[in-house]
Formats: sequence, C-alpha cells, structure tokens
Amino acid sequence: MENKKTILIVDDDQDFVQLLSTRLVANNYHTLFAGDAISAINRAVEVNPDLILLDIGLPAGDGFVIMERLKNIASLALTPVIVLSAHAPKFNKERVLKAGAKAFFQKPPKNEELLKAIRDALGNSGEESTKNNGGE
Amino acid sequence: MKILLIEDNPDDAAWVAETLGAGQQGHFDLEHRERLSDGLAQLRAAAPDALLLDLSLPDSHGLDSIEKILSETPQLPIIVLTGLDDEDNAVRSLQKGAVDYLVKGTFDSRLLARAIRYAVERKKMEQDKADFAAMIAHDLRAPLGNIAGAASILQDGLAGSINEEQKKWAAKIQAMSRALLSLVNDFLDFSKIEAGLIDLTREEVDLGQLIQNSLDIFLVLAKEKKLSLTSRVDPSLPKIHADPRRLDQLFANLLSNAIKFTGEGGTIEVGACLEDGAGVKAWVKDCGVGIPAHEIGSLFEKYRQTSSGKNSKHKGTGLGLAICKMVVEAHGGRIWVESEEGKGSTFSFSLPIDI
Repeated sequence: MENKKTILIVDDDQDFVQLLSTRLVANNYHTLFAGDAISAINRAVEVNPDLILLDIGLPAGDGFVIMERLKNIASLALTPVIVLSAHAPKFNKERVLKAGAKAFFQKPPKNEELLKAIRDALGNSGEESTKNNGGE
Repeated sequence: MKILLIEDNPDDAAWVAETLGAGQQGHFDLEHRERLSDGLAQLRAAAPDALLLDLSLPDSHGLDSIEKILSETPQLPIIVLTGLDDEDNAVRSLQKGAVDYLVKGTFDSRLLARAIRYAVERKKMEQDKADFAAMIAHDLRAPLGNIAGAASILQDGLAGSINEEQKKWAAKIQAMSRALLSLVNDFLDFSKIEAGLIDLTREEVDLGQLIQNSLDIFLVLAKEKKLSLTSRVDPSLPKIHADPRRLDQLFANLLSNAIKFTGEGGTIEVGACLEDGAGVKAWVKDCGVGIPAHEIGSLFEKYRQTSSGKNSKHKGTGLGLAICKMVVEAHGGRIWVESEEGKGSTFSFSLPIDI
C-alpha cells in the first residue's frame, strides 16, 4: 500500500474524472484532480505526481499550454503525460506527441489500453494491475 | 464579389461578362479561364466567392468537373452554366454538389446576379448547418462515453460485486451506448470528411494483422447470430502505407453491414490478396440478402439506405458506405460491390501499396 503511484487527472468533465478515478483506484493508483489549467499547474507543483492524465480542451488554457508550462518547471519537466481527448479536428495525435505526451487516447479510452500505457509510462516499476482491469 | 468563370466558348464568355457587367455597377469582379486545369490553378491562387462552370470543357467533361473542383475547394458555391436544358442532368449536378444549374439564354443580367448571390448564401447556410451538426455530435460524445464507462465499472465489479444476470445487463448498457457512440462518431466523421478535413496518418500497416484484429472484435456479434467468420489472407501480402485507424473503420463498417444483412447460420469471409503488383485488394463477402441491381449505383452515396436496410431492426445512418468510399479514395484506391439479390454481396476495395 505504501508504494502507490500518484496520478493527477486534469479534466473538466467531472463524470469522466470520477469514472477514470474509480478505475485507477481499483488498479492500485492514488488519484488527484484538477478541472482547469491553472489549478492543474498548482496541483502538479504541490503534489509532484508520478504521472498526469491530461485533457486538451480546458478552461483557462488548453492541454498544450499546460504541457509547455510543465516543461519549464524543473520538478515536473520529466513527469510523463498521457493525453486523453475527445475527437477534435483542430489537432491530431502527432501534434500531441510532439508536444511531449507519452501517449494519446481518444475518449472514451479502452480501459486495458489506457492501463497499459500508464504502466509503460511509469516504467513498469513494480506496478501490478489487479485482475479487475477488464472490460472495454 | 469575385467570380470565376470557366468556359471555353469565347462567345458565351463574352456574353456572361457583358451580362454580369450590365447594370451591376461593378458588383462583380470576373476572372475567366477556358480550361478546367487553368481554372483550378486560378482557384488555388485566389479563392473566388462563386464559380460559374460550363460543363463541356476541352480537358474535362460533364459532372466530373464538379467533382474535381469540390475535391479541392469543398466550400465553393458552383453554378453550372450550360447550353444543355436537361432536367436530369441538372438534378445530377446538384447531387454532385453544385448549387444551381442555369441554362444559357434563359436568363438576364438581374436573374444571373440574383442566382449568384443566392448561391453564395445557400452554400454558407449549408456550411453553418454542417458546423452545427459537428458541434452537436461532439457534445453528444462525452456523455455517451461516460455511460459506457459507468456500465463497465458495474460490469467489472468495481462498485461492489454483482451477480451474473446483473453483469449481463451492465454489458448490454455498455454495448448499446458504444453502438450509439459509433453512430455519433460516424456523423462527426462524415461532417469532417465532407468539409475536406480528412487527415490520414499513414504508417506501415500489416493488412493481415489488421483484418485479424477486426475479426476478433466482431466475433462476439457474429456468434450471437451463429455466423461463421473466416479470413482468407494471402500470407505473402506486403505491408502497405496507410492509416490503420481509417482502415479499422473501413472494415468495421463493412463487417457490421455483412453481419447485419446475413441470416442466422450464414458465413462471412474477409480476405486480402495482391493485385497487379502495385496494389492490394481486400474484400468482405457475405451470403446475405444481397442488393437489388437498381440500388447498387447509388449505394455509396450519403444518407443512402438500401430498402432492406431501411426495414432492418438495426437502422443505421446511411453514412457508413459513404465514409468507406471517402476513406478508400483518400488513400488513392477505389471501392466497389458485386451483389446478387438473395445470394449475397461482396464489397471489395483496392489500395496502392505505397503512396
């Protein structure tokens, strides 16, 4: 229980945050949230999460702005970011990966694929998923 | 207002210039080109507000011209100006995306000016509607995705243990909301593609593997109808340069159609082979209800549903095959169907190996 990794979920869709958090907690992660760009940065600086799940369309500055800011904060520059976003013609996977994200998922993500990407991004360091990561 | 006229007959061109000039106090700024290729070059150089198009040009003929122009500038209002007073041709022109069809010699300066202004307005309203539809579809996605997610939380027992019967219903909620989500995705996708926003992300694709993955996804659905799903992929198939997500979508559309229209106990075959060295051919073959000959011609048009599709329990949007066609053509390939009523249909498409 001691070595739980902390994941910061940045998303303004509260329902989605709850669902994601339930799924992550069941897989032995510790979760925190932020609903806009400013509190996302503040939260990240404050708790220094192991990983950030980031939405693109957000109040007060989009996901790209956040990724840019994170790169300039020494303690967070290397924190892995996974982008989860709805269909949007304005940007594509390439742009997200170029901005520094480890992976990109279109919402709703497939649970298994997302959990795998999280494990990969965390470098597989002793994080074992429970059996309950099934479904789509 | 900037108007481009593509017309090879100098007398007709002079007449249009005169007609547009007369009494319009310089409202219209007319550019004139004689060939489609020059017209397209002019379109790229400076987008006009509207296009007046003759249908018999030295380097392009008939409705093809409309298609070629709209594939480059989907939002350009096109008014066909022709000597051919043919109502069928007029309707077909509009179906291809022209906004109006005017027969030379049947209108005067005022009518032409009005036709142009209305054409521009109509095209703009069409665009606004498409944007609005895209926005609505976008807003429907999030809650639908969340419903599927919530059902999967119940189903996986993350909110406490549930019995088998409850699990079955949670799975149903998940499957149904995902089905609805894919309909909304089709709408969203279609409005994007139609607005000329199809963005292919090409990478090396192992078509055989991709087909196998598609089959795995549809196995459950097929099992429910006791259908057998088989694959016949040439093992020596080379990798192709394509967008795997778009190809997934292509196979998903074709496979769900095949499953929908094939009766219990039937077989569906998916295959791929090399074609003429430079391309690959893939197909989805069912032994379902088939398509009546008179419906085949318009099958790949948007909003088109076959008579059997309209009567089906699982009604679709009528966009699936139109999307397939756009995806294949964006890859530089083509798609076609062979079908016999009562015997089944084979949907095939060819793709270049390297583009």
